[in-house]
Amino acid sequence: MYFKNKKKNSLISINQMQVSDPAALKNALIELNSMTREYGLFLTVKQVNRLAEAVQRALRESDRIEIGAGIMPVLAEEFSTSVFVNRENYAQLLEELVFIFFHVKTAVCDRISDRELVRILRDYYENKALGSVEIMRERDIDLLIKYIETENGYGMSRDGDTYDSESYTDERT
Amino acid sequence: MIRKAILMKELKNYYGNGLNYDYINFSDYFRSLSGEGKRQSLVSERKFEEIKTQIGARLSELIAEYTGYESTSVMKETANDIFVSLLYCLDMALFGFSSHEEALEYLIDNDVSAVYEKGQRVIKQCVFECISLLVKVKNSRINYPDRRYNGLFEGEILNYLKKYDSKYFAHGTKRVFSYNSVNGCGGYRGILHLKRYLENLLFENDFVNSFGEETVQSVCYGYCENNGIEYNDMGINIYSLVLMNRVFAEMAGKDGVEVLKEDAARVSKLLKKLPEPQQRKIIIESGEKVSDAPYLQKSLIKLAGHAVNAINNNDLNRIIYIGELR
Repeated sequence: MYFKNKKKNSLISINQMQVSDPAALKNALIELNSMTREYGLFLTVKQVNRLAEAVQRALRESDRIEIGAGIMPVLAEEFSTSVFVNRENYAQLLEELVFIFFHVKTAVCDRISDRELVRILRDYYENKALGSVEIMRERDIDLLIKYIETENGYGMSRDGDTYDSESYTDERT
Repeated sequence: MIRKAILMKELKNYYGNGLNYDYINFSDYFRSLSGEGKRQSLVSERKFEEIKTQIGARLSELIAEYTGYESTSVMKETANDIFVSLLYCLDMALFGFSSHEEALEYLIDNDVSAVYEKGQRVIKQCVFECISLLVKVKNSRINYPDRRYNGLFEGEILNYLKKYDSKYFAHGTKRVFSYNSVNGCGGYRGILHLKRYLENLLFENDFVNSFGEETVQSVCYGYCENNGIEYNDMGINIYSLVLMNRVFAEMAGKDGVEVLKEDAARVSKLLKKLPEPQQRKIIIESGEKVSDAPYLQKSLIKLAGHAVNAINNNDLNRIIYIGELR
């Protein structure tokens, strides 16, 4: 075949690829309402839309690409059973969590599965941060990252602080 | 297929829109071809969007597979590597056609998944061809103990082949080997680059071996001695050394590769009287008498420049072995 020159052509680029599925995400969150309703948790359509936008922002911030419905429905399902979650803080918590999730996932270079990271986040949220997502995000995010990176078990210390989930139990169950 | 190609040509003649080859790029074939097809309305807006959607779906599947279905997201850098690998695979599927029009026709008639699967088959075939070529290159190996040259066969190429990832990093190219062939690999990427490199080596080995083992060893050892370098670390391509020896012998009116001091002095003296373009021309013409193989002709264009510099700087020892063959 004949090739004349090497002019670049970028009508198809990765930024144009639709790999995430916002509609699937919204549907999954709305479907979850039927399950979370028994805990008194419910997301309005407005909140669902806001969460979908938050996911996009979080992805941009942490330089990631998500496929399908993504992590939000998994976070919602996992955290909806937490004792610290109520109707008022549910949507805000999910919004904060998705930022933490992607930040940590990128920081540890994807060396942890989604399920495992969600489990650690839930564990930390309940047993160490005692329901304060602000503490997780503002104060302890580096501790979490270090814990995952070193796989040093629970009990890593930082400035006298430790993350030791063994001494706590899941009260909700 | 043929009927459609004819129809496309007829349409092109009627509407005056055909592919502009200026916009079709070999190293980004699928994208540039589909883009140009769209520009010329040979690919409809709807079909183009369909292609993009199908690529997105394929990319999602590949990302999911890549994470072992354990992650719903990856870093953008990783996604980009997988995306480029996917495009490379589509390129490979389309390279097999004899014209851009035929390749575009195939793209229009098939969905991205089918094109991708074909690309994967072509890549696998290419890997097999590389293994077969590696065996041939190894069998025709030049019997001289140069560290870099022999390193190629002691794992360097095989390790690359073993690590080659046709799915998530098919475009991955080993640009630099410890021993380079004289001619480059023409902008090829991924497995095609290795294939071209092995073809180059095979030609070089066959050419060098045609002069006989002892003669080649004599040239190589002599060259190292003259330049005060270690026998096993020549730092020069063996084929280029033997070829230039042959070309200078030819200019001195001799067969074989032996260039004696007086031959070198005589040829240098004659060439120095001429302007550089003329010197280059004579060297290339002498090379053409040695062989009309396209690979060799291409090598000569590159090596003639080095030879001209060496002659004008009284440094001919640097590119050929001057002395008696032992």
